[in-house]
Order: sequence, then C-alpha cells, then structure tokens
Amino acid sequence: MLAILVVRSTEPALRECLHSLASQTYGALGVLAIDDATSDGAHELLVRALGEDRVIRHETPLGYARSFAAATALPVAAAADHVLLLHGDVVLDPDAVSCLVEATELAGVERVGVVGAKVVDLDHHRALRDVGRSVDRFGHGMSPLQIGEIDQGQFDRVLEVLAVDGCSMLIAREVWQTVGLYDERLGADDVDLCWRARVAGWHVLMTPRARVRHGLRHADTDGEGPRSPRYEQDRVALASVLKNYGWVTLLWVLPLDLLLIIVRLLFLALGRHFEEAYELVAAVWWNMGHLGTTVRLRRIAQRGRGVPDHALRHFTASAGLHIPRWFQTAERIIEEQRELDTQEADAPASQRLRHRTASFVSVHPVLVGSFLAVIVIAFAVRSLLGPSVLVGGAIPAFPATPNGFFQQLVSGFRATGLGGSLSASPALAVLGGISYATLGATAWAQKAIVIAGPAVATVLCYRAVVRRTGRPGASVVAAAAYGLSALMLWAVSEGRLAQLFLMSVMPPLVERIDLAFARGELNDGRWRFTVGLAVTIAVGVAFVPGAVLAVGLVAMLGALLGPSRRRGITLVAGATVGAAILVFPFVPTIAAGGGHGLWSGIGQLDAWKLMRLSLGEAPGGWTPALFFPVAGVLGLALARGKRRAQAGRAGVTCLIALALAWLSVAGYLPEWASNAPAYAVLAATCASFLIGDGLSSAMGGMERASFGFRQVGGVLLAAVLALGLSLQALAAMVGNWSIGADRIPAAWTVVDAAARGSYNVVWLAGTDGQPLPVPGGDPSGVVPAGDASVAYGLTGRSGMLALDMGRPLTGSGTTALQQALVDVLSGTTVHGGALLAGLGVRFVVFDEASVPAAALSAFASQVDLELVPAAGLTIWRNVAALPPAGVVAADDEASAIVASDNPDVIQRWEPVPSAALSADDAGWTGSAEGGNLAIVATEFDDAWELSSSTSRPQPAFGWGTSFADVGSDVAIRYGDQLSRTIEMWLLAIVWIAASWITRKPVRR
Amino acid sequence: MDSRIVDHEEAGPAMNTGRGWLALVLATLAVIGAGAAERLGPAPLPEAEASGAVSSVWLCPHGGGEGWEGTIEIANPGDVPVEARLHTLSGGGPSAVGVVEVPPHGETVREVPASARGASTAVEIFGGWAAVAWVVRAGGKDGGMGAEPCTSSPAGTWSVVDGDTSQGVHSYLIVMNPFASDAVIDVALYLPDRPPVREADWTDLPVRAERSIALDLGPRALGESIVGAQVIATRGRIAVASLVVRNRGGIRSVLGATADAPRWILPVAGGTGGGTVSLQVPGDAGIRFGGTLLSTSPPQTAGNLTVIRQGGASTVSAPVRTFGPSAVVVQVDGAGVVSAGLREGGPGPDDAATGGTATPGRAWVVLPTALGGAKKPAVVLVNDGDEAVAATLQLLPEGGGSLGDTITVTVEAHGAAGVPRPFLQGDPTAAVLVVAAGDLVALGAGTSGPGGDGWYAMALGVPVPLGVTGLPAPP
Repeated sequence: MLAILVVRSTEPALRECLHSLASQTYGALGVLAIDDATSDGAHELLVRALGEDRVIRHETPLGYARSFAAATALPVAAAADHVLLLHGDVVLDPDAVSCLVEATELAGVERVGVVGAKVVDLDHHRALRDVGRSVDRFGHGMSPLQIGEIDQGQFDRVLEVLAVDGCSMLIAREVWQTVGLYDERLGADDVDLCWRARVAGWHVLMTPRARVRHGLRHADTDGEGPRSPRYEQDRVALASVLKNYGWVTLLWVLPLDLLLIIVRLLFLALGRHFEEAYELVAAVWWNMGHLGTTVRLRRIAQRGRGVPDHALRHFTASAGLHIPRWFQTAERIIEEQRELDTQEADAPASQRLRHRTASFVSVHPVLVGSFLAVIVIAFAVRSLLGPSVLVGGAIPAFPATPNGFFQQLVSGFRATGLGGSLSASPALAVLGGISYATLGATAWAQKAIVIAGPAVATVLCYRAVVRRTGRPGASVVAAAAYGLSALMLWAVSEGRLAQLFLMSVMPPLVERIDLAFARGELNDGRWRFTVGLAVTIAVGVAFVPGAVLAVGLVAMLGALLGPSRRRGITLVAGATVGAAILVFPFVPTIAAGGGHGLWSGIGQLDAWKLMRLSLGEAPGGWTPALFFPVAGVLGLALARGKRRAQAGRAGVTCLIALALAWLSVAGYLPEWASNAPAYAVLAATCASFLIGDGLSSAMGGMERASFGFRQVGGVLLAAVLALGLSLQALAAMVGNWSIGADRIPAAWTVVDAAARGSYNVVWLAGTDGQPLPVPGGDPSGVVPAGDASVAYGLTGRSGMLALDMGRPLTGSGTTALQQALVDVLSGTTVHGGALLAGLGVRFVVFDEASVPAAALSAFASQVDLELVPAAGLTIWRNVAALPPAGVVAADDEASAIVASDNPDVIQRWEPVPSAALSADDAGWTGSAEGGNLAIVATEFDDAWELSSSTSRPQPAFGWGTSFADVGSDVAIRYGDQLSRTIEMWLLAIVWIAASWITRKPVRR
Repeated sequence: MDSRIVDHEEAGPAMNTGRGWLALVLATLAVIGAGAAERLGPAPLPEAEASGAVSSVWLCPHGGGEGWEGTIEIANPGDVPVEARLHTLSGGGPSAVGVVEVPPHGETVREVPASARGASTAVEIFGGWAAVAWVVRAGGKDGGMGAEPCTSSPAGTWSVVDGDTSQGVHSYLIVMNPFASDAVIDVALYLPDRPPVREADWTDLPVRAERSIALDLGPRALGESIVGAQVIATRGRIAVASLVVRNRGGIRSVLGATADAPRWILPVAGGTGGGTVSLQVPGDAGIRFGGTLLSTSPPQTAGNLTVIRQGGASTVSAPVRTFGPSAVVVQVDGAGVVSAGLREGGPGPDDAATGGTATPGRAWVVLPTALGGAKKPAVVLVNDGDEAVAATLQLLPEGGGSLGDTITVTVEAHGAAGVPRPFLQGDPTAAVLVVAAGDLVALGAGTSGPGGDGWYAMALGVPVPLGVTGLPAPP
C-alpha cells in the first residue's frame, strides 16, 4: 500500500494530515509526498515528517492530476497493490486506511477497483462532504447530499457508487495500470476516473467506516485561468460522456445533450446570464478543440470495456428531475414537524396542530403559497387546457406560425388594419419567441401566456414586495392578493395578454421607481439601475404603451413625496429616455394621432366596482373582491417604522390611480392621458405593496407590544385577507372564463363562415368602457356623435390580432373611418356603405344592447347596409363593399369617385364587381380579371409600386392607395423596406447592449 | 418565551397615528370620490361634426298600370343644388332612370315608368336635402290621378287603411324593397266586421331584393268598404303604399304609416266636402275615439264622430262633411293607438286620399299634385295648436330661383286655412315651401286632367328637417 500525498500549499491541516498518516493502524503503509511547487514552508514540514527520500518536489505546480500521474510513474508505485491518493488537506481517522483496504476484500464483491471514504468537513465533523456520487445522463456529477447535510448515520453502509471523492481514494494497481489515472486535461476529476474504472468492470465502493476530514477544495485547473464552476462542470461532463459511453448510448445521449445545451443557452440568454452562457459555449468549444485527444482516450477506455452501459444505468440519475432533493426537502420538513411534536408532546392535539401549521406556514411561506397556487391554477385553467385554440373575450388571434410575428415586426408596412408605415411593437419579438419556445405552435403560446401569465405576475409581485419588505411571508400574502385580485382574474377571463404582461412588469417597475426616490445607495449602481429600469419600462410600454402613464404618475408622486427627489428624477428621466431608445421604432407609433397609442377605451364607469379593481364582467369581480383595497387601507394603517413613508406614497398613488382610472373611462381626461387599465394595474400594485408593508409591520413581536390598534388592525387585516383570498380563489376555481374553445358568438361564426375572401369588419360598442363584440377586441377610438356616440374598432375577419399588440389604429385611414362613422351616426347620410367601401369594410357588427338607440336608428336608415339575420348580434352587411385589396372595372365616374377625397362624392360610390387580390408578406398579388383600377385599403404611401409597370400610386378615397391601368396580373409591392430593416438591426443592437449592461454576474 | 409587556424600542417604533389617519383620509376620499363619480356620470360627448356628406333616399311605392304615367317630383328648398339618382323597380328588377340635378329653391320633375301595377321608384339625393313625391296618372282603360309624398324612412312595419274591395273597385298594396337583400313580409288585413285575415301565402312572403310588387286585396277580402293592412317585414326593410283603382274611373294612393298613434291630423283640400275617415285598430283591445273638424270656422265635431267605440283588430270608417280647406283630427281616448286615413270625393269621378300625420312641424314642402292640363292647385295649412300660427310661403318652381314674393298666411288656433289661389296659380306645378312660426301641417291638392276637374289628388306635405339652410325666415 502506497499513500501518495500531494501538497499544493501549507494547508492548515497538513500537519494534522501527516500526523494522521503516522497514526494509521494499518501497518504496511508507505507514504510518498509530492510537493507541488509549494513556497511557504510545506516542503520543510514534509521533509521533517517523512524524510528527504519520501518527498518529491516539483519546481512548477502541476496540479493534482499530473502530480499523481508523476508519482505513479515511479517504480515504488508499481510495486504496491494499491495506491491511496491523498490531498494535503485531508485528515484520516486512525483506522481509515485499514477500512479502505478492508473494503477491497468485501465478501461478495469481486474486482473492487476503487474505494473512497466518507468525507466530512475538516472543521465541522458532522457536516457531510461526500458519500459517493452518481452522474446524470449527460455526465454531470451528482451528490445525494444536501448542502450542509448533517451526518446522522444515514449513509453508514458500504455503498456501491459510480465515483468517490478523490481527496482520499484507494485504487488497485490493475486499475490505474489499465485505465490510467486522471485525464490530465480535466484536472483531478474523480467522476471521470471512477467512470472509466466502472466501464472496465471494476467496482467502486464508498465505505463509511473509513472517515476522513477534508478542507476546502482546491481548484485544479492545470494551468488554465480561473473559470466558473459551470464551465468546469460542463467541460468535464461532455468530455466524460464522449469517452465513457458506448457508441449505442452515445447515439442518443449526444444529440439530446446538444439539444439541452441549446435550451440552456436560450434560457441563460433570456435571463441575461450572458457570462454563464459564454462559459457553456466555451466548455463545448473546448471539447471540440480537444476532440482528437478525447477520441484517443475514448479508444483506450472502450478497449478495456468490461460491462455494457446499461449495467451502470442505476448509477445515473435523470437529467431534469432531481427527485431525491424533493424528498430530502420533504424529509427536512417532516423532521422539523417531528421536533415540534417532541417539544409540544404534552399539549392538546388541536393546539399542536395549530402550532404545527403556523410553524410550517411561517417557515415555508413560499412553499405553501406555491403549493396552494398550483392547486388554484390547476382548477382554474382546466377549461382552457385542450387542443383547441382559445377564442372569446379580448384575446387576440395569433398568426399561424411564429414567423408571422417577426415578419410583421420587420415589415416596412403595416399588414393589418388600414395599413400605414408605423412600426409594430417590439412585443412581437417576445410573442414570437414564446411561440418558438412552444415548438412553433402559436396556439400553445397563446395558452401558455394566459395560464402562466398570472403566475409570473404573482411571482414578480412577490419578488418586488419581498425586496421592499424583506419578509417572505408577508410578501407571499401580498402577491397572492395581487394574483387573485379582480383585475387579474378579469385579465385572465378576457384573455388580455398585454394586460397580463403589464401586470407582470408593474410591480418591479413601481418598486424600482420607489427605490430611485428612496434614501440609501442602489445596489446595482446608478448606471446599471437606470438601464435596468429602462428595460422594465420598455417591456411594459411594448405591450401596453399606456404603461408610461403609470410610470409618470409614480415618478411625479415620488418627486413630490420622495426623500431623494433629485436622484429619483434623474434616474427615472434617464430610464424613460433609455426606454424610448429601446423601443425607438415604436415611439412614432405611440405618438401618432396625438398620443392615441396611450389611450385605452376599456374601463369601468361604476366607481364602486372600479374601487374593487373590477374592470368588467369576470369571475372574481364580485363584492368580495373589495377585500383587496380594504386590506390595502388596513396595511397602510399598520405600516410603521421605515415602511411608513413608502406605504404613505403607495397609498396616495393607489388612490390617485383609481381616480384617474375612472376619469379615463368617463372621458374627463385628454385622450393621451386616458388609460384605465394601466392606472388600475398601478393601483393594484400599490395595494399589494400596502398589504406587504402592513403585514410586515404587524408580524413579529405583536404579542409583546401593548394592546392597541396594531393587534386589532393586524387581526382585522388577517381576517380580511383570509376571507378575501379564500373567496377569490374559489371564484377563480369555479369561474367561467370569457375565453375558451367555443366563445365566438354563433351569429358571427355563421356569417363569417358564409363570407368568402378577406374583408374588414367595423365593430361597435357603447362608450361605457366595455369591449367590442367578440372577436373585435378593444375599441380603437370613440366616434363623437352626441347621443349616438359609439366606440369602434376595425379588424380583419379574424378579429383582433396579436400582431397589433400595443399598436393603435391611427393614420389617415382611421381618420376616414372615423369620419364615415360620424357621417352615419349624425344621420346626415344614408350611404354609409359607400363611405365604408374604400376601407374594405364588409360588415358592421355590434351588440344591440350596448349601442345607443340613436346609433341603431342611424344604421337602420342606411340604404347600402343590409341587416343580416343573426341572433345575438346585429350585423350589417355593406352591399357597396370593396375587398381590402382588389381590382375593379371602373368607368370615368367610378374613377372620379375613387380619386376624390370628398365624402360627398365618395358616398355616391355604387357597388361594382371586383377581383380580390391576395395578401402576402410583401404586398398583394392576383389577377385583374378584366379590371383596370387596383384599389387597396392601405394608407397611401408613395413607396408602393405596381410590379412590371410604370404606373405610380394614387390616393384612393383621399387616404388609400390605387393604381390605374393595371395589367392582367397584378403585384403591388412596398419599395421602402430598407429603412425598417436598418431600424430593426439598430433595435437589436440596442437590446443586446441593454441586456449586456444588466446581465447577471456569473458565480465563480 | 419572553412574555414581558414592552413597547416602543423593543417592539419597534410605536404605532404612529400618522399612517392610521392617512389611511382613514384616503379611504374616506375614495368613498366620497366614488359617490361623486356616480353622481357626475360620464362626460358628455361632443356632437358629430359631419363632413358634408349629405344624402337621403326616398322610396316611392306609387304603383301603376298599363298606359299610366308616373312622375317623380323633387323639390329643393335649400340654397345648394342637389343631385338625385333615380332607379325604378318592378317585379322584373331595377333599372336606372338617370341622374338629375335639382337647383336651389326649385324643383325637378322626372317621368318614371309606371306601366306595372307594382312599379315604384327609389330616389337617392346627394349633396343636400330635398323633398320627393309622386304623381301617377292613369291611362289606358283607367282614369284618375294619385299623389303622395315618398318616404325617406324604410321600415319594417307599415300600416295603411284605405283599401276598398267593394264591387268595381280594386285595391292593391304596393310593397317595394329597393335594398340588396330579400325581404320577408307578413300581411294582415283588418276588416270592419270580421277577424283579421292572415293568409298563409301572405305569411313569410318573400319580396326579392330590388323588386317591387303589388298585392291585390280583392281576393282576400272581397266586398269590404274599408280594408286596413298591416305589413310587417320579418326580414329586411320595405316601403308600402296603397293603390285603389275604380272601374268607373278614379285612382288614389296613400303612403303607409310606419307607426300607429293616438292622434291623427287628416287635412283635406280641393274636394267636394264628402269625405270618409277610416281607422285601423291594430291591437286586440277596443278603443274609443272621436273626431274634430278644423276649418276656418271654430272647431266642431266631425260628422258623427263624437265618441265612437270600436273593437280591436278591426277597421272602421265614417263619413264626414268638410268645408273647404279643413282637417279632421282623430283622437283616441286612453292608451290606444290607430292608423288613419281620409278619402275625399273630387269634383269628378276621381277621388283622393291621405294618410295624414301625427306630427306637425314648422317647415313643409308641399309638392304639386296637379299635373297635366287645367291644373287647379290647392294647399291647406292646419293648426292643431292653441295659438295662431303665421307661415311664410314660397314657390319652388322648376329651374329654381323661387318665383315672386313670399306670402304670409295666418292659421288660427285649432283651425285650417287655405293658401290664396292666386299665389299658387303663379306656377301651378311649383312646389310650395311653408315655413311657420309654430307647428302646422300642410297638404297639397289639385285637380287636373283631360276632363277639366275630373282628376283629383291630395298629397301631404313633406316636413323639412332641421339643418336645411337657405329657408326663408318664419314670420
């Protein structure tokens, strides 16, 4: 037996190590020490302890792997039956070597090649460090131990494992002579060494009878610079896989491993863990660069293969699920409960149960909250699961493929609505990304957002509150209140994806802005903080441009009430500018029409309902939803200490936001400042913050404080929250959502199914803040016509599209649409169909109950709108309609009408046969079928071109686009794509830069 | 566990009342604000600012017959020219008649086909407002003249009570559907002494798109002196009028009413004084009604119409004696509503009829009813109010530009007044614009025809909507 001790520095334990070697009960033990270029007196210590002959000194450090390799090259090693590889910071129990040797001769186990000891911490003898390891399918080493797990004898049996800790590893001579020692490229990687021994048919055992104590582990990089643990793990894992699996296994493991690496890269990039992503790439790159050597080593390993891969399968664990950890966590929890039982053995059962529950909830609030959330969500969304596409409510239709999102994002022209060149929202990139993540199934992406959105928003709210209060328990309750608020349930019920994104963004947004105006240093530093806030604002604005109104309100109140006003103003102003840069192509879209993009016509006129944050009919919009603001008020009253100021600001913000929400929908605010949903989300966020502040202040020490409001208020707050959350959870679980598989009104389904070709639809509703008929989505504006005023929207036949997320209906086409509707509703014309013809509008749809009688009467008097028999909806068919893009045979009179921008002339338009053109990514194509005038319901732009023709575009009906004298085949193309392409590249660069600045640092 | 009672330092800062008060204040403000919001309600939305795209459509279910002549009269009381696009409808489909321009303060008369019994004409007006009416003159084996204003309100329900299926008389309902979708109608005939007739083949009866049909009442309710009809379009929109043709000569038209009412004003002029008031009671409940004759004399009971009881779902007619330009006001007691009509005998074999109106107005355009030779126009103004009303009248001749001076006519309270004949004779075929200081009803009548006074027709005026510019100021 030869013990090879490699010393890399004067370990505090070296002296003890040498002493332990000297104290071993095993007699035939020779010791050879390798001084790996130490320079701090270790050499002298070794020489004194072992003598000059037993100490070999390296002039330059080689690391453990090479040092062991050098030692085993000596004749003395070859003469020993076993070598014991020891690190210099290991202290062995006196009988450790005996026990290791004893394990090699264990009855019933043949060919024991490697034996490891039970490794405990050098300083804390009960803390387990290693009891043997396994690997996942992809070569990552896995230990059954929890961090800091205490040795309670739970592993005190000889275990057959895949690998043991190399700090004290006994290796049979045949092993290292046949499979070699460490792969020196990988450093002293125990797993790889033991795996190779296993492949060669040797057994690897961990004997707990041999106990060693081990200090902190050294990095063993063999000359390379310091890298992150992730790099080392991934580099070694991939190399081990390449060497140690048989071909058959490698055929499926390797592709799967590469796929997982791509997924991990994606997640790391999305989470802005760029450096970790880089380390992962570097690990793969290293393996590619060393593939030749790896293949050579593989040949050696495989040549000596003694067992097939499947024989080692029970030493490998699932790659994704680390089930044992869950069990171990559960075990720990049970243990805690047992301790409680022991402490309260004499207490009555009911008291024990109460205490146990209270203890469990207070110690594991996130676990309990998550568990309950999973149950509520599972029940709540059961009707949304299934293969069918979600429709109904205000859920936007997704394109057939994820590419649809990106095509529209980079397109120079707007393919929806009435065209124009205003850019789509960068939010489309997110939606496209999510669609790709759901394997290209956009319907799944739609469902994923609806189902996961509330959970994500709740988690982000929790994180914001916990950052604010430092109390996980209070934060869980506050986030639960947010997640079960009437507002959240309404957003889910209606399928309001943008709203769900806004509800996810708002808590961190408000928390960060509050932080900017608060006292104290910023952890991130100002630059990183500002960019981070800019990113958050940009994400919110991309989905709901009106989010900027909430930002403005919070910032304004911060500037008025916050302690660090100058800093706050500077940071928020900087962040706002940054956000504008991050969505710069989208800024003109938002600003168009005097800031119409900031407007939302959705809201609640009933102030009492609004107070409970109910913006429409939905499960959970009932009276019990009032628990949320009531709890917020109680939370404000209970806030104390350092939370008083921030709670005060949140309270004032909440009230003002609610007031603005009502004023928005009631029409008292300018259009650009009207966005009830954005204000309501802000109010909900502040209410949850108040609950967090109140609970944090009330919790802890209550029983020691003199009786007063704190106790009464605390109990009241707890009661309100308990009752409110329970009822809201119940409402969510049994609620009937507005979205689902079959939520399109039958009337529209029948009409739509009977109609051919593409067309536009004008949807109308009252001005009371409620949405348009399904699937019209939300109103795009209001037609002011006195008693006949209505809210309106225009869509294609699919209804509201996700491609228009955050993008308002503005521009000259919209002006024409609005004017046509004004003319109809004012009763001055009875030729509304002709006025709508150029807009490609074939149907006008509304719910009779929601539209004013004067508007009904106005539509009934139109001679070129025909009422379609349809139960449940009022649908008018435009008999004068033109297709959104088509070619007509126009005589002089018709041509003159098309060329006119005067509604008095346009209303004389009479229906003519037309040949519809098909839309594609670049414009429209089709056959003229004898027509001579192409008319497209897209805003006039001189950049439109008629392929293979010199014909220039002309305005149609004063706003659209037309081409005269078209040939038999028509192709209309957009000629100004380059500027948008450049914009998108710049946008990508800006986001990359912002992501890099706000990247998460890698652990080293 | 330490069970000492502590406060302040150890238990954290004392419960500062500041946030408690703030919470109270904010909660109070929220409640007050919600209450105020409830009271305040939403902001009123501004009125529509129309672009100037002004148009209207007039439906003229005039009917016709072999050798008949149809005339559409379009009068423009405003100060901008308007354009009219005419389409004629019949059982065989639509055909364009043409586009005519109507000058400001003038009228245009356009002949339209009227050879089919179900003929009708749709007139689209662009660029302004204009009043439209029809005159049909029988030809061939028939004789007589009928006139009525066209309707600009296509609707789903129509009532008309002027049918006569007694011997030698043929009554028709002219149902026009100028729209692009088929209409489906149910026709119910109301009779004096029998339950309503609802024939299966007149239930869910399709009226094809852009078609106009004539429904002969005779076979359904033979031998009735007064037949009312209610036409309900269960799908689509239509316009309905009655057309009565008498074998011994004489035709008359009455445009249907889109709504029943408890009070009807039935003006009459140019006739011989032998009139018949007809009522249709659509509801199942009976009614009590009475009639008052308004004329240049003080109001008096019209005929025997003091208090008449009439059962539900029926029609009733009663003779009334009129004196010169006058009107019969029919008033139903209680909550009952009816539709009404008045037919008046003319100087010759021809007679005339009107459906009257339930709604007086301040401005009217009375279109000419007397076309052809030997025209004798008449216009009656009826004031059903409690105060005398003065009205300014202006002729709107073909070619526009107004003829001569305006005149002012004062109509006593609860009275009727005829327009001086010399004024009308300035241009017997000109339309008359009536602008009053109070609410009036205006009706035009006239006699003409190859037989001198043989042909007689009445047509209610067309109320001028608000917003039409260029009207003379009321006196």
